Amino acid sequence: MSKTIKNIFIEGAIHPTFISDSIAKHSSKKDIGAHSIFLGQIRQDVIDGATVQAIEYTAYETMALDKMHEIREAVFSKYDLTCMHVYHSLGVVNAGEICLFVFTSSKHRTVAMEACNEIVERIKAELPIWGKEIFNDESYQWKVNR
Amino acid sequence: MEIKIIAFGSIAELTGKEITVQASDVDSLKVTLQELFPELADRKYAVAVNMKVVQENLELKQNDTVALMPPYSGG
Repeated sequence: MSKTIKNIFIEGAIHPTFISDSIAKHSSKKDIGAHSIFLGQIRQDVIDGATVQAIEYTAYETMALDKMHEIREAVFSKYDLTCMHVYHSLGVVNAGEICLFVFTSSKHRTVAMEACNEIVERIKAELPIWGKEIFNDESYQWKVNR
Repeated sequence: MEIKIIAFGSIAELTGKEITVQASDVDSLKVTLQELFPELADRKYAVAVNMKVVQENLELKQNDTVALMPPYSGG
């Protein structure tokens, strides 16, 4: 079986125009009846008086892409999806900017929404990616996923 | 034999991003790493051999790449 590993990583923030362009590209696929989109945004947490200014992401890229391929295959076989797109930032993303974009399309809403949710949960739990929260006083801490 | 270690996130701050250590299996590798970096004892991390997470001991071969990975925090 051939294995085409798609890249999911984007350097820096994911721009809203990239997201809208991605939506627009689907207008030619007339069998789609529902899209589900998840966008992760950098939250400006305040921890012990210091404000999160940005998150800097690093990853074990080859392993993350390998794992994402596995997730993609599993989700495609479980749900009747027309298509699936996943993008994750690497490097510095400022508070208020988008760092994760998951986009699923199907004939009907339930499938698109459930698949989208499952992909987001699996990305958070299974991809070797690390976020370093950078504070306005130049201190930092390693992010912990809830 | 010499095993190439790559480390990520908070673990890399202790060990450096890339080091080479003599070890024959994963358990002995962990012991050696803890001798070199005593603070590792208090850290939670997973070990992947050639991009696969290993839970149990595994014999290491020449050219294996071992990754030390703190809990993931992507997304």
